[in-house]
Parts: sequence; C-alpha cells; structure tokens
Amino acid sequence: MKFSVMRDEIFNALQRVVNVIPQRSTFMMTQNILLFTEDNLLKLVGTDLEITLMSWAPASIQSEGSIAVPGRLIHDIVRELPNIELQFEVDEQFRMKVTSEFGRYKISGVNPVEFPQRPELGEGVQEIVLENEMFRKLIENTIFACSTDELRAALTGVYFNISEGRIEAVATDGHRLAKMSYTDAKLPKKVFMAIVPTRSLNFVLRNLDGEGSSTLHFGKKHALFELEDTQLYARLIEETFVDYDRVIPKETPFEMSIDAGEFYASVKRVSLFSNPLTSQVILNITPKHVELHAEDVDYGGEAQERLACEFNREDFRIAFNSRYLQDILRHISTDKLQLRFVRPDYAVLANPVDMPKEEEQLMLLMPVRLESE
Amino acid sequence: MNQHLFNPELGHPEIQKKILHSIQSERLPHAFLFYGKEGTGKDAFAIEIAKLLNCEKGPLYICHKCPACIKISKQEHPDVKFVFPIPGSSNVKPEDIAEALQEKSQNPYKRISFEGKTTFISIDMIRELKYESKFKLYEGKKKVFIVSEADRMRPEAANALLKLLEEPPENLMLILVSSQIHRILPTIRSRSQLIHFAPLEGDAILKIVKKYTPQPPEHLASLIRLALGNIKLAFDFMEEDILDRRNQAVDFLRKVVIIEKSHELLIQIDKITASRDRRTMVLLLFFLLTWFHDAYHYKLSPDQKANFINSDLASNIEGFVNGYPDADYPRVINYTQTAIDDLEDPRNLNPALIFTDLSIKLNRSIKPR
Ligand SMILES: [Zn+2]
Repeated sequence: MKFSVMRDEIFNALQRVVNVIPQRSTFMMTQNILLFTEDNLLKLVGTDLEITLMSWAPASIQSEGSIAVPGRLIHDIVRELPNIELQFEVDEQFRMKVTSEFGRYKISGVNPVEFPQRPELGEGVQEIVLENEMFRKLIENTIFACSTDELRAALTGVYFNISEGRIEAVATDGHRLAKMSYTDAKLPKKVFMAIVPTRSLNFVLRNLDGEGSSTLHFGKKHALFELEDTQLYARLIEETFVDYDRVIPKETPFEMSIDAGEFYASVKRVSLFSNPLTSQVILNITPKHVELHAEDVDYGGEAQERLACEFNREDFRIAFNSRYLQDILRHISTDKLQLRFVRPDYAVLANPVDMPKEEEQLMLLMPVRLESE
Repeated sequence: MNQHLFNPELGHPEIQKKILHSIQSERLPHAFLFYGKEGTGKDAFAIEIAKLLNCEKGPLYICHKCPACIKISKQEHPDVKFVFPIPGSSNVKPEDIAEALQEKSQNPYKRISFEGKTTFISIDMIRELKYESKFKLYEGKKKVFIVSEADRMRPEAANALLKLLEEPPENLMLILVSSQIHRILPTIRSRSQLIHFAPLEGDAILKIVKKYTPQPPEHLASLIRLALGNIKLAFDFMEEDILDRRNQAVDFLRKVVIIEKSHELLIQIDKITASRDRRTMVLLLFFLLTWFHDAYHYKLSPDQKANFINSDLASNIEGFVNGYPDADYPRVINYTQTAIDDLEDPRNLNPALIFTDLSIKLNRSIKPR
C-alpha cells in the first residue's frame, strides 16, 4: 500500500473518525482505525462496535492496500503537521512509514483482517433520501424523550417506522412520548421499522450538514447514514418497540391553544420557584386565561403568572413536572401550540399549530398528581 | 447420526457429540452451565463452541481459518465476549484486562491470574453484557457470552445475570463455566443446561500441554501426574518451582504431627500465609493431598509403589505410613480438601485460621489416641 495525501485532507477525515474510538475498552482492536484505498480515495474507518464511522480523503494512490493503525497516534502526528504533502507506505509486516519534508515516522500496524468487518447491510435494504433539515428535525424532536434505563433496552433508541410514503420517528421513556413524521410521495411504500440507539443518532447530528440531503439505508442489523463527508453505520437494537399508538388518547375533550413562545418563557420563570424535589408547576385553565403556579413550601418561595389563551371548557386544573414540560415546549417551533386533555390524571397531548402539511408532530406527557392543598 | 467431532484435540467426545446433536435438531439451549473439576478444559471448550456457532463453515464444523475462527481465537470477535474475575475495578486498567485476554487467547487452558489479588465478577461487568445483548449481531451468526469462573460473581452481579437469563435474546448463547457449581444460584442453574466435564485423560493432557508448550520440561510426565489430571494446574506447575512448594508442604506436615511443639507450627503457618497469595497456599495443600493419596494407596496395597503420584518420594511416604499406623486417611483427605475449598472462597477472610484448624484436625486423625 502506497499513497500520498495532503495533510489537511487526511486530518479532516481523521478528526471525524477518531471521535468514535472508545476511551476505555478491553477490545484493543477498536483503538485502531482502518485505512484502505478505494476509488482513488483513502478511506478511514473507526468503530466502537456500536457506531462505525467512515470518512475519506482524496489521495494519489501508487499501490492499493489496507492496514489497521493506532488511531489516536496517527491523528496526533498529523495534527501537529502543517498542510504539506504526506507520503504513506506500508510493508508486508504491516509497518507503516509516514514521510514528510520534516522527516519520517514509523508506526506498527495490524493485519486489517483482524479489524472488525465493515457492517454488512444484507439484502432487502430500505433506502430513503431526506433533506438534512428534515432528518435533523426527526431526530431532534424525538431523541430527548428516549429512556436511559438499560433494563428497558427497546426504549434507549429512536424508533423509525416507515410505511406508505411516510417516515415516522418515535421515542418514549414511559413518562412521555415524542413523535414526528414526514410524508413524501417519493418515500418507499414498503413497511419497515428499526430502533436506532441514541448514541448513534447523536453522532449523526454532530456530522450532519445544515444543507443538502442524506441517504438513509436500513438493513437488518445495521443502518447506514450516508452524509456529506461521512458514512455512519449504526448497530440497531434487537428488541421490539412498544405499541405506542395504544397510549395516545383518541379523544381529548379539553383543548387549549396558546402562544408557544410566551408560554415557554412563562413556564421557565415560574418553574424557578417550584419545589426542587417535585419540580411541580400547576396550570389553572379558564376560557380566556391560564394561570401558572409554583410553590416551594419549605423555603417559602412562590410564583404566579397569568397568560392569555383559548380554552373550550370552563375550568381545568392540572400539574406537571416542569422539566418534562419544558422539554416539550423547547421542541415546538411554530408560533402557536395546542395542549389537549382528557382528565387531570390522564396523558396530555401537545402539538404545534399550523405545521407544514407534510409534517406532523405530537408529544405526550403524563401529568403529576396534584399536591394536596 | 453424524458421529464426527468438531475438534478432536479438545477431548470430551461425548459432550461434542451431544452439542452437535442439539445443533442438528435445532434444540440448542439459550444457556449452558459447564461444570466439573478445575482444569478439565471447560473454558477452552466454551471458546470452541463460539467458533462452532460462528465459523463460516459451521455450525457442525470448525475450520480454524476463516476470519470468524481467527477472531474468536484471538479474543477479537465483536459478537463473542469472554468475562472472567478481575481485581476491584480501581485496581485494574482496561489494558491489564486486554493483556489477560491476550494470554487466554494464546493458551485457553492457562489460569488468568492477577498476582494473587482477590478477583471477582462485578455487576458492572454483567451490566456490560446486558448492554451488549440489546444490539443486533455485529458480524457473526450468534452472540456467545462466556462467563468464566461464574461462581465468583458478586451476588448483585448474579442477580443481574439472572435477568438476562430470564429473557434471553434469540441471537445469544450464554455459557457459564464453573468448577464450584454449588456456589452458583439455584435460579441460575435451573435456567441453564448443565453439562458435566470429567477430568481429561492423561494422554489428552499430554497432547494439549505439548501443543501450547514449545519446549516442555524434561519431567513433563511426572509433572502431569502430580497435577492429578488438572490441566490448569499442570500449566501452573510449569511456571512455578513446584518441588520447592512440595518441600514446604512436607515441612508443614512434619510440624503438624508433632503439634506438641505448637510454637514452631504457628511460625510455619505465619510463613505460609504471609504472602497473602491464596494460590500458593492452595498449591501447598494440594501437595499435601497428593501425599495423603499416596500414603493411603500404599496402606491399601503396599506392593504398588510405582503408581505413586510422588513416586520420587516413595521411601519417605512408606516411612510415614509405617510411623503412623493408626492414621485415618479418608478423613485426612477430606479435611484437606475442605481446607482447599475454604481457601478458594474469598468470603473466608482468614487463611491462617483455616491452616490452624486444619493442623489440629490432621494431628488428631493421623495420631488418634
Ligand atoms: Zn471458521
């Protein structure tokens, strides 16, 4: 294997890939990154066996080949070099020589056969092209509701449900649920579903450009996200997702609509006075106003605010954990939002008003029991 | 029915056939518990099962050449995990564990040791397995998690493992390995298919030792004999000055029978337990055990000295048997074995106490009034 590459080009790719190398692992092979030549490119792969990230750099290739080398070492050497041409040469014993005008560095590598295989997508892959902006929305508007409890493994990722020209992302931790969907005639008609772990999706967000589009491939074991300068393989979660439609109330007799920005700001202010243990904030809703109230009996703090709203019934009183409520309000991007209730002790629905018709966003939050008065 | 073995070198042909049969009839359990005396090749066998289930030429054959086989041999397969007791996590770095794994991959029959430190399987290690279990396969055909010395799981680790056993993912095979099966939770035992490993034949051990030892010592045969069919011990012996350890055992025995000079005995016990390395203490008692076996053997059939484990000490053993004609050997052997078991249980905090207690019992059974 022999190639030359500009320092900035390879460093750009190294920076992306080195992030995946685990800090602590007994699986020493993952401390390496895989280098190989393909299509006149130098390709770099890093993995922690959960996320496999591939990036690349244009290189002038004299002879093809591949090698696994200590990832942080090569990253650190290249980082300290200015933007000059670097020559790489690998011998049969997998020793790599890097030459520049400053001198040469010899690095012992490993036979690439020992490096974990690049994840295979297998047959029957579902391919979806999404605008980056929409892909980001699907992730950001759901991922916050994922569970961190490993005993509920199925909930530690975002569930992607694809069918009938529609992609739906869902996350829940049992207390709240967030759902976002996007309809587009160009999307596949076939039914397919996968649970993508939160860690992988956070890596996607980190590498996702603001503009352009990405291609999502869902295989049986791994998903591949083809981004602008990166390909990210995410190992999927094996379990079956919960039947979430069952927990979403079909009829909600109490409906309130309110200015999203004002309401969020008010909740943030009032919450500062809630009891830190319960974080409880109470809403008293009347046809024209909503009154927010929080109180910390132990320290004597108390806050109350009144905002204009529209409500279709007489009086309604309900309490929330303010942190969960803020999580939901933070993910409303329209001017107006709607809260829909069944009973003070039943799941509450929140959704933006006036969304583009191909987008649909719904959040569900369990209220807390009203503190006795 | 197919009568071939997937790895003749491995020994235990009956177990090999049984497992091949379960694969053929698609009745492979979610969990195995391999049990039997130490040094019967259980870990090595478990690793071969991982190959069998992942080899590109599998699942009834191991090619030893495909990437899956090579990676499993090197403990580098993403879908195969090998967990073993380690010192408390503050005492051990990932590199140390990786190095131990490396040694295990070079010789799966050898003991993984951390210089005499107390080791156990923590809940964090089982949690990692649980975390790993939620994913789909990385590249293999079946995830195989091997928990070696499963009896050294902390109670909370055992409970966490139980959760994994209660709802085992379809793509996972769990292999628990233990030479102290009585210390495994009954709830874990009942959820695993139990497979008993009998000691390997002397010939099989000799072949294995030669395979993993390029330059075996001259006295290899007597060394294996001294290891009483325990292949792990045979490899221990190749690293230690075993004859020295045996002399120490004989010395200890000498002090035990003249317990009247209890002061000297206590000094001796202090010396033995000073290192805090329970492995060497166990080894000493182990030699004592071989001595008693020989003595008992001689007493029953005095004309078969050639079969002594310690054949080089035949005349000393003869002298011992004649000197203490009333010794109750079955009882003496039993006491020594119990002391070994007690030493191996990390919950017993005071080795000196175990040795003192054993001394008194031995003295009374060797020289009854
Ligand atoms: Zn193979």
